[in-house]
Amino acid sequence: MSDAQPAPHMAGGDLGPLEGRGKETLLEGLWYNNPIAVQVLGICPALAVTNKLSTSAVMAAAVFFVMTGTTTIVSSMRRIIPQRVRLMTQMAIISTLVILVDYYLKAFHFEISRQLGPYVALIITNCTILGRAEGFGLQNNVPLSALDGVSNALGYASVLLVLGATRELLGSGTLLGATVLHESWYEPNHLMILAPGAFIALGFLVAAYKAIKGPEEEEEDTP
Amino acid sequence: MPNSAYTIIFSAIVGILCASVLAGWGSFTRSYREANRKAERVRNIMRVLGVSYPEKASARELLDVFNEKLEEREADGLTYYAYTGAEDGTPIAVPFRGSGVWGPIKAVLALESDQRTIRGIAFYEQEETPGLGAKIATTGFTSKFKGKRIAPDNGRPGEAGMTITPPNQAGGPREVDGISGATMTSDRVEKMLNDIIENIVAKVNGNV
Repeated sequence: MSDAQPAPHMAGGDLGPLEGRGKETLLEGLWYNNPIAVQVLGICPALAVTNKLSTSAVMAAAVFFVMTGTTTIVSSMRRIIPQRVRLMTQMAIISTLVILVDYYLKAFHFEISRQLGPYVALIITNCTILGRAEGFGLQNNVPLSALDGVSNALGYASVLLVLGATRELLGSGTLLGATVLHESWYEPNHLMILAPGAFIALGFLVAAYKAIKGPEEEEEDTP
Repeated sequence: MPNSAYTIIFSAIVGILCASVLAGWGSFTRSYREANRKAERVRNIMRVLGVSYPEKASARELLDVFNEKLEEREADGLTYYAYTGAEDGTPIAVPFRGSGVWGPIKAVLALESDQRTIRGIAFYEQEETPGLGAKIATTGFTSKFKGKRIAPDNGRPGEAGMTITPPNQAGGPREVDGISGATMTSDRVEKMLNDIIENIVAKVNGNV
């Protein structure tokens, strides 16, 4: 796991509950080490449900709940989890949270759950979440781990929302179902709501991200 | 080894905790989830038949309206729904399914009281190609079926059936325009439609 290393610039000074690493932790997931843009993790749902902004938003919210919940719970249990069953424990926690969300959507937001199909349940296999639990939650205190969960979930969500908005706009000419680009002058590009469009849009998004972030020496030991 | 014992006990507790949380939440939401599933089916049937129901109706309200105005009937193994509360005779709706290009297609066909004229049709579950075959779910496609006939007057089983023609070529009462660029979906829809039409003509029409 490459993401467990402390970042270069420690804030230092008096150590609160966040050990002076609050801002850095928040920015890591949100920007410098964004789960999708940098690590290219968890892209299955990022590609599958982003053909509409509404489904992207619900998926983002579901991942937020599961990710934050998981890092918090795993961190609070980090001293009592036996080394040998730590992955099983993390998976049990993730699965439980995901099924809670899945049932919630099926019971109270049926229409959107129908549109998301199996992808809510598939959050269980979103490696970003297990990655944060294993790489961060197990080693850090509860407030910091919760913040790490929030940060990565927001980082993940922002990519999902941008992808969802772009693909819906270009692919259907609408945003949240409301017509933005009228068919009289804009011919919707159906490619954008199909799977290949997802890959193309994600590629452009990652390229744009790298362009904004600027060049950097590639020293990460990508697994 | 005490260490193993701890690991086992720990795992058991985690398992039991997770299972109880899920069991609790599962049974709390069960009635909602089931009502939603049923309501979804019922909503499609009522929409195709043109039964009026409150737009924002909850799952339970939908089921109430359904039970009040419709009647489930069976003809020789074919389940269909009679709109007994209708003002213009007794239209019927028949759910049917078939296989599309990428996955199953679920649909409902509604017929007027003469059981020959199409009142409405809906393809409410499908995984056809977005932008092409998936247009079967839009009213742009389904509205073309309204008023069409599933069989010639006094036709017998075997003579019934409809044709989905290439785009802009449908003329006859038993022809419907297909979707441009979605020939495979159109073909499959035609096949599943004719299967159910044959079934209806053979089983339901005889019992009028």
